[in-house]
Amino acid sequence: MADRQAPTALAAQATDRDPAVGLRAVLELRRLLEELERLHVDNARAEGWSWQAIAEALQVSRQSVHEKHAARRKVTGLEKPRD
Amino acid sequence: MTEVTTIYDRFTALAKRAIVGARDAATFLGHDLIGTEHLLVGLAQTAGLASEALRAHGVELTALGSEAARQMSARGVPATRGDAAVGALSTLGIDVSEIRRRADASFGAGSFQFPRPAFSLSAKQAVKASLEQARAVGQEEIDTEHLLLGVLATEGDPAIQVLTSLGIDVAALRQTVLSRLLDG
Repeated sequence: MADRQAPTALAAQATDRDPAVGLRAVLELRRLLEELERLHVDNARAEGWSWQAIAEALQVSRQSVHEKHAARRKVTGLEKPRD
Repeated sequence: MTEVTTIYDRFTALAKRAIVGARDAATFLGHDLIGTEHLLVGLAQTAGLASEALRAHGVELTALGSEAARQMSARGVPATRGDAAVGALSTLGIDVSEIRRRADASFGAGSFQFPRPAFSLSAKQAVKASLEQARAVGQEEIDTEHLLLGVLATEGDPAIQVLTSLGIDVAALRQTVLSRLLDG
């Protein structure tokens, strides 16, 4: 796999002129971002952070962070109903 | 107070279980996307009106699972457990296995999952169609029967092709679900 390549080869692929390569990398970066956000929001809630505090740290509205994570956390039992 | 609702807040417990089943089916097959075929498998293995209707029309879970897997493989759906996703990030110098190792150490094993199978475009459309189905009959909650109608809503969808290959009369199946929906 590609992760054994020299740094110059990596840089070349990151700026590949083939749209399929570049767009795929962007898609996967976005998915990685979503996974990291999920991980750290869950950790923040476990540490007792309020939705408001999490929203401020992420520079988004409380509503958008709640909408994105609260329902998922309820489904998986991480969040008590009526929060 | 929950001032914000998402579409998943409207799902019944059974509908949520069917979605989890769909995700598990995708993971089991090594697929990186949750498609309408996976939704169909999730619905067939979950109690409720959808699985009752599927069974009444002769859909057998094992045959459904293997036909869905066969058609996805024939269509070239990769079953490589997201290696391509990990590979795409490695082209940017991001080492996913190192992130996973550190996340496991900090937050416990399995806290970081990449890639997490995501809904395909057609699966998202099926979920949206299920909401419209529920609304059309004046129901607030999305149950398994609405999800099944959502999956069957688009002509030519791969999930419909799977059922057709199994010899199922999809139009009749749709009719059965609709009439049970209106009875309920």
